[in-house]
Amino acid sequence: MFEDYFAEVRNYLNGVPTRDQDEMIQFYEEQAMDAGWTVDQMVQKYGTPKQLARSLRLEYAMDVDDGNVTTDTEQKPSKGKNRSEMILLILLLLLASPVLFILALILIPIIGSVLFGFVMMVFGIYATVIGLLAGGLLAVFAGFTLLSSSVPTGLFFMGMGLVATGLAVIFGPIIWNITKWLFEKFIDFMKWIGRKLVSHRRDSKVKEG
Amino acid sequence: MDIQVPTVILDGIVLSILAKEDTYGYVITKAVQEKLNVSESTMYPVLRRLKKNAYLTTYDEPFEGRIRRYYHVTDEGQQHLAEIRTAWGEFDEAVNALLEEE
Repeated sequence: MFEDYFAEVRNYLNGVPTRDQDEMIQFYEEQAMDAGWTVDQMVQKYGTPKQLARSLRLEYAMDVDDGNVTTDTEQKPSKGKNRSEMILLILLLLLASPVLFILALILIPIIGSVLFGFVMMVFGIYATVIGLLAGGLLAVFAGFTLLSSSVPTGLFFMGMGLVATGLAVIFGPIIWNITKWLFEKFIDFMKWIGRKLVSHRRDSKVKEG
Repeated sequence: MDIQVPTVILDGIVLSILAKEDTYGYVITKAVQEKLNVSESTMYPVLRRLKKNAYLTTYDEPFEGRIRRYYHVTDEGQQHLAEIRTAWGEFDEAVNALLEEE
């Protein structure tokens, strides 16, 4: 029974490097044995194996994102993959938390729209930059061919084209960097929620903040 | 009423317990729970963070056919504890002065 609980936790921790899994299980198993808990008591204190594993995974994903974990390179997940797992776990834990359920109902649509907004922004930036670049180059080319029939019209098109290309080259990277910065802030905010979720789970009166 | 224990204070509490003698997870949790209402899942992230920052080291000792992981405060940990104590002392004094009646 006792071993089953932790075998199940380990199962749900699949993907976390074995060394880190061992460290986590060592702490929780040792403490439960020293306390002499039954499996029922363990579920009361730690939650179900799935719940414990989820918050352990989240803690781990946040530590990895902070750059605080030195993992073997072969087992290291990509930053993006780790972040998607992190955000998914935060959403799952938000939904599972009875106290925060109401808050979750408000937060989840907000988080969803922010994420959607980022995707749209990135898409928009790409489209605008590519459009400006292509349009600009095309205008320069069109202006050049028009030079033979009308010099002012040709020069006008070439000028417009150069302005558009210049704008794309100057503002593209700036807007891109602003988006990236905003996204980092969003991730920081998510981690802040995540830390609250992990440390507040099961505490009743005095909480870590 | 709820007053949140700041992370740095939890770090200080754990370092302070371990500064007296090396001990293992269950004893640390119990010692903190005697005074503060924290859960059985609170200590692991704290210990993990302290170890990561080299404030603690661990070693395993056999006990009844299994192992117990003991935590030991390093010199850096002692120094960090002293810093937290000073910072808390100042904070405590300031808050007391401000909360005092009259």
